[in-house]
Amino acid sequence: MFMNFNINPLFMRFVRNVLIIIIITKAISLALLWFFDAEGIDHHESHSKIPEYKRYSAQNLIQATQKVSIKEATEQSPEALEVGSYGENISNMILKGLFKRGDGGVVIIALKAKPKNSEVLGIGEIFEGYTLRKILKNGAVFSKGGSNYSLYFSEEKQQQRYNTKSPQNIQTDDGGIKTVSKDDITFYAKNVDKIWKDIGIVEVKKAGKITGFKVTRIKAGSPFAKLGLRRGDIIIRANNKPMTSYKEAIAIYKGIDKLEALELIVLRNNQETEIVYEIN
Amino acid sequence: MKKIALFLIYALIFFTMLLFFTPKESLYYYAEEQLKPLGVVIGYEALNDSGFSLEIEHPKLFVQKIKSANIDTITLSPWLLYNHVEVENIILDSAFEQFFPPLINRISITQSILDPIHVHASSIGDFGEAVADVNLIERHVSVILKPSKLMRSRYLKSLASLKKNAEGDYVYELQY
Repeated sequence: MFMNFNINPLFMRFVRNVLIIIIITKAISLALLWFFDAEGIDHHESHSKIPEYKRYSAQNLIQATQKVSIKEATEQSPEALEVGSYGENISNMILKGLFKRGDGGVVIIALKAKPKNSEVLGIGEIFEGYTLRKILKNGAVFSKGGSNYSLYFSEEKQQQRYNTKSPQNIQTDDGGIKTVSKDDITFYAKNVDKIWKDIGIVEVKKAGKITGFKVTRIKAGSPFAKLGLRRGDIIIRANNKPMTSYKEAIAIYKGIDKLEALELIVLRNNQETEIVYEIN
Repeated sequence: MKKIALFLIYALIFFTMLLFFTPKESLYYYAEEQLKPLGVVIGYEALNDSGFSLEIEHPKLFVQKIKSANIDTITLSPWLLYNHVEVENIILDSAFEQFFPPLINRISITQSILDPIHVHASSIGDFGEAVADVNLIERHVSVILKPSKLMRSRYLKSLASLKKNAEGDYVYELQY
């Protein structure tokens, strides 16, 4: 009844030895598994809690409104063209710029006595007792003590608003803020070689950690010299972000074509100096 | 003679099984630990242990927390006596495209028992071809680059930071 198997004992010994080898190798692998980490390292994006630098600049907003063509301007409603019809003009203030979007927006105003101390106001906000009520294409309407008042651009400013020519060079405006052409920025971002011909920058380290980036060389007459940077300046912050790693520097470089303003804090003669650029 | 043959067969089975059972994912994690102090992190990868090698699919490479490259595949073959790493289709981040051609087709790194103190590497890509040698005892890295036409025409500034040898190739050396 029972089948008789004749198995070669040598083969059986071979199979047994192979099984022993497999068990030993598995035991070694388990020992290795215990010795090495069971989890890898992953990259975690660190998000800075420092808010990004934002600049509400009169110049930028004026540039934004410049995109409104003259044709569009002439097609404005009569009420928009006649801001003065809303009430008496506020004589001690100047309207430096405005940005209108739908029923909202902001205006940039200053006292004539202090033209450089600009304020940015939204609808409902108060400046010198005047509450901003409405933003029109050529001016703004305020209220004070139950009466309406208007504030509109000077003729000179009006001309500037519809001059759509972009600045091609670095300029310094009235407020000491430098204006840089977006085309220039794009050009340098795409031609890094040109940058290094005009400027030399090295990292500055303290106790093995980067504390900033030092300007070691600036070619006289180059766009960088016009930017206000000097040899020996140490850039310690850009747009409110500490320049303590290449990551931060690369992030600024990668996003520079999307910036509307760039604020640099540099250490010059051991004193912090702020340099602000508006990119138009 | 028969005993020697049997011993060789057992040895072969032993190494084959050892390679098969080696916890390659753990070895990879250990390698990641070693790279971390250098600021190198490989993230967002999918691991696939195929028995004798480990495939790392679609990882992103971060150096000093800067996203540096997207990689198609890294294949690790830790075969004890012959260890091999193959990296395919590396696309450098746009931040670096002003300094280096963005596509590297392949990097191949080998270390074997026949030359245990050296690690050899070779690479090919839009930049041209490169071979590298790492002396593990002297802690010395030497890279010889044969630049492509593209590299010579558009990335001269990067080449300028390398030394040119008698053959017209570019050499980079590092003592670590």
